[in-house]
Amino acid sequence: MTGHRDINCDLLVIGAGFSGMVAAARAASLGLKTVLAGNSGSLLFVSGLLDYLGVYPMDASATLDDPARGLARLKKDFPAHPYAVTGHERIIQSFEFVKEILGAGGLSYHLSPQKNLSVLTAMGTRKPSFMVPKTMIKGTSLFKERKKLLLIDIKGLQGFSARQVAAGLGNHLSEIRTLRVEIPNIRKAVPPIVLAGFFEDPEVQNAFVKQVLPFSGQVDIAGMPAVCGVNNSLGIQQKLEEMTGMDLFEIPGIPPSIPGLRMKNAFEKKLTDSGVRLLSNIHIKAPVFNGKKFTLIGETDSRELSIGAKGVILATGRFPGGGLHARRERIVETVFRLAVIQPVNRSLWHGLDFLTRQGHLINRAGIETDPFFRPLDERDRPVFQHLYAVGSILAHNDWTRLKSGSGVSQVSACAAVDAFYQSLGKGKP
Amino acid sequence: MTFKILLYTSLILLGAGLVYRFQAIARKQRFFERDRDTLAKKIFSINFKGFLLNTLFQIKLFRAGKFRWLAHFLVISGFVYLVAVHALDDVTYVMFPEYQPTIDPFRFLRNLAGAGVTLGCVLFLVRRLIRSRVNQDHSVQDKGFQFRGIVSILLILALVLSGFLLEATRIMSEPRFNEMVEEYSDLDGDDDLIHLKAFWVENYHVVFKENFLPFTVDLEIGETLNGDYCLDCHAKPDSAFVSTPLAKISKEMGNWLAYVRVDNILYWFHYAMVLILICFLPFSRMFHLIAVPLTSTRKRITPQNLKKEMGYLDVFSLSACTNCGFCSEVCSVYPNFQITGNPEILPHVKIDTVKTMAGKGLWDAKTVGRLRSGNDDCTLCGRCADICPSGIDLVRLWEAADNLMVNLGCQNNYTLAQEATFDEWSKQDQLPGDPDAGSSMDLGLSDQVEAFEHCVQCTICTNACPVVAYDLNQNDFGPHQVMNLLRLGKKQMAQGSRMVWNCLTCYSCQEFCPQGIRVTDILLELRAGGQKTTDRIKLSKLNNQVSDK
Repeated sequence: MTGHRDINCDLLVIGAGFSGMVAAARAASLGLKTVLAGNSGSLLFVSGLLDYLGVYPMDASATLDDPARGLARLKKDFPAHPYAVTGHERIIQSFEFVKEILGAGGLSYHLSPQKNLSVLTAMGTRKPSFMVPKTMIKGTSLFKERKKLLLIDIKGLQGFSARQVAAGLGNHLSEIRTLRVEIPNIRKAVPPIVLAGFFEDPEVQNAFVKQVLPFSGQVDIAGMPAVCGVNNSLGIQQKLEEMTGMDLFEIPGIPPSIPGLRMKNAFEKKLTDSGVRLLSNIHIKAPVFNGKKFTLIGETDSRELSIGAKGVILATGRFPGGGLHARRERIVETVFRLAVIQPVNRSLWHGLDFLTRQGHLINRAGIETDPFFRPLDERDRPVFQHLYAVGSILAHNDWTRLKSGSGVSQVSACAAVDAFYQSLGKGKP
Repeated sequence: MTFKILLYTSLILLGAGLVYRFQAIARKQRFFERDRDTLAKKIFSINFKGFLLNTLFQIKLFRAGKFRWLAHFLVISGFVYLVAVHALDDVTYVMFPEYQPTIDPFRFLRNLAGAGVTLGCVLFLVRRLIRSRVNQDHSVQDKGFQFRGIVSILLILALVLSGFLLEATRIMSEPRFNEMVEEYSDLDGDDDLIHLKAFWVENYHVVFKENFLPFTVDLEIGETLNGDYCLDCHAKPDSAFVSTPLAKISKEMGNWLAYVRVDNILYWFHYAMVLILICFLPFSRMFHLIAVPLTSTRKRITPQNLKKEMGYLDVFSLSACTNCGFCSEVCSVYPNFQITGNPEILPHVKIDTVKTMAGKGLWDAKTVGRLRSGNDDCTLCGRCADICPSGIDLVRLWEAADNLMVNLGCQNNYTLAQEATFDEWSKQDQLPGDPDAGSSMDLGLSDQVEAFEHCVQCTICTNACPVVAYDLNQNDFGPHQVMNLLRLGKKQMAQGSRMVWNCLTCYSCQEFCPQGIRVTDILLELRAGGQKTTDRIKLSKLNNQVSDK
């Protein structure tokens, strides 16, 4: 395989989910010629909240207030966890990096200085998170100040009910009122992204404001579903605040998630601006390593591209993303056929109690890596010098229960790209 | 005299033919709008640059295909030379005062031009035998297109080849030599004539009945006589690199050929070919010589002139079509043809049917239905118009054809599919399949479980869909619901859903789908498959109307 290549690059990032986006952005910021291949549609499944560590230990009854303290215990208990390798400082740096990247893509985030923020969800629950979109920030101080709250939902928008949120909140606040806003021309159901598009229309904004205005003066703050426009959400929210004269915040909901779409757009804008080549809807297969370079085939519906790369970052995710595949007896990694750390047989994948706080063993299955995030073979040696695995595919990482998904993804992505950069002999990033 | 009478008759026929064609075309230039059709009298914006480039260099053909451009250019440039310098020598000698067909460089150039035309024509014929992508799949209807216009090519070939043979037989003809001697010298009956004859045998390849023994003739005297009487008009014929070898090859038959006066027969034949070509020009493929440059002057339809010119059926462009098939090779709904086997999807077939419809009219319900479906499949992407070597604005044409059909009472499939009830729709499924609807693709995406089974009904496709967003209250299903219908095995129902027929094929859903399902491809395929059902519904309605009467 020394023949023709359609694309040549320094670094190929496989997978365009959150960790793939961060890895590509990091590589581009270091001046590497980067190709990002994958399907970024999966970002519409993310909430848009960027977590550090929300719960520790797993069976704790309350959420963590200070993630750094949880991290100290996590390091002791699970020395193989990705966080144990990187440490607090690099995690914070990765948050700062992502904030900067998204900011450059036109999406403003608020990074908490130290403590976890408490975000109100569409279920009426509170979720600990570390960095949240600025459109949600006003909702994170609700509970400390016991404000009078107005909850707004929109007729036709499925999966979000103001009354449900209010019921979930119980009597934690001094007063909660609900309002169903009707948007003209919506008779039946409206898909959330379509609705978000409508909110960019001044007429829709006026109709919204007209129905909210009677509550001004009666409540301190109003929460609404995260549909304040796809582009320039913060601007639209500020405009609505000005018109209604009350504070507003967005409440993240179920997929398809508009904060996720905004994040996808911001990443794609920043990556395109910094010269990363995006290959969307492409399936990467047949990797070959000739001692110096990887050659992989990128298959689309209509053609096959041959891609040459000095380094490869595997950010293919777990089962939904297609990075891992559960066969009858074993879990396999789909691109490189890497060794997957997993329970010895299928009966151990899950425990008997489905909702156990401890999680299941299959949740911790994944790719084992060295401190530079290079996947290891059976004898604990890196499989290739320049192959890295980042994000949710990593082993020992039950991110859904620890509320640490984006933190692990971004810190591993940054660390892997930095390690690759250094190994090219280009000095410290 | 006879020549002149025949020539003028042909020219009159040519003129009358052209007038007839132009008039017929002008009568049919119409605007077809939804509610009316009016005679088009406006003159539209003119594209001079395109006209010049496409007429002189066939630049569009060059862009479309280098091989065909080469063949075409050889024929055109050779033919132009032959017509201008050789055929019209009575007129154009003003420009070339030293012109004689038998002196250089004209003798060489005439052979060169003739050889170019011959080669070009042979390339044309060879191409017709090579199977292209389009005529591979297009086995039944193809024969007609493959050999269309072949008569014109054969006529041109016959003209040029007879020219070569004529030159060759004249070179060796003894009677011709004697005629010339009689007319241009006083050597007739002279003893010295034998020396000249011998010199001509040696150098000019003439074949004489008698043999010249070396000691009875003096070639030097022959050369002098040649210089005195002949050389002004007759250079040695060796520069005629086609005719002279031909003459040499047929030397053995020379006496017999001279006896029959084949040179005169060929002369008449050659001339007859010219006259036939002149008479046939307005009515054969060769009409595109006139139609293509004129069509190239038309500006393509743009957003600016769309309102003014929409629905204008430009019959003139129709006659510029040579059915070359480049359009069908780039057609973006070609896959639909592979699914439904409806040839009216292919632009080069469709334009022919539209031509018939605009002219004689279409009286066959089945063809109308096919044309309707074919035109409905068209996305007006404009790739056919971009590549068309004749510079026909095909997009405008398809638009006009659509309106024309609506005026004829032939509804489009989209409206039909939206108005048909699910009952009507699923009833068609139980009818036995249409035997002549060829299908080269048996299993489509919508028949393969792997293509949609990974759908998790996350609704992202529906969220991304501009059709859903455009009219929230009209669309029955979102793309994710169509995928669910497929998962439930309700393909027929999916085919009849509004979503399938309203899809813009913008590919947003496919781009966004986190599961990598080819949503748009599936929708498009369902629609293509549904065309068959609409055809059946249409036919059953037409039949009902007939039985009611």
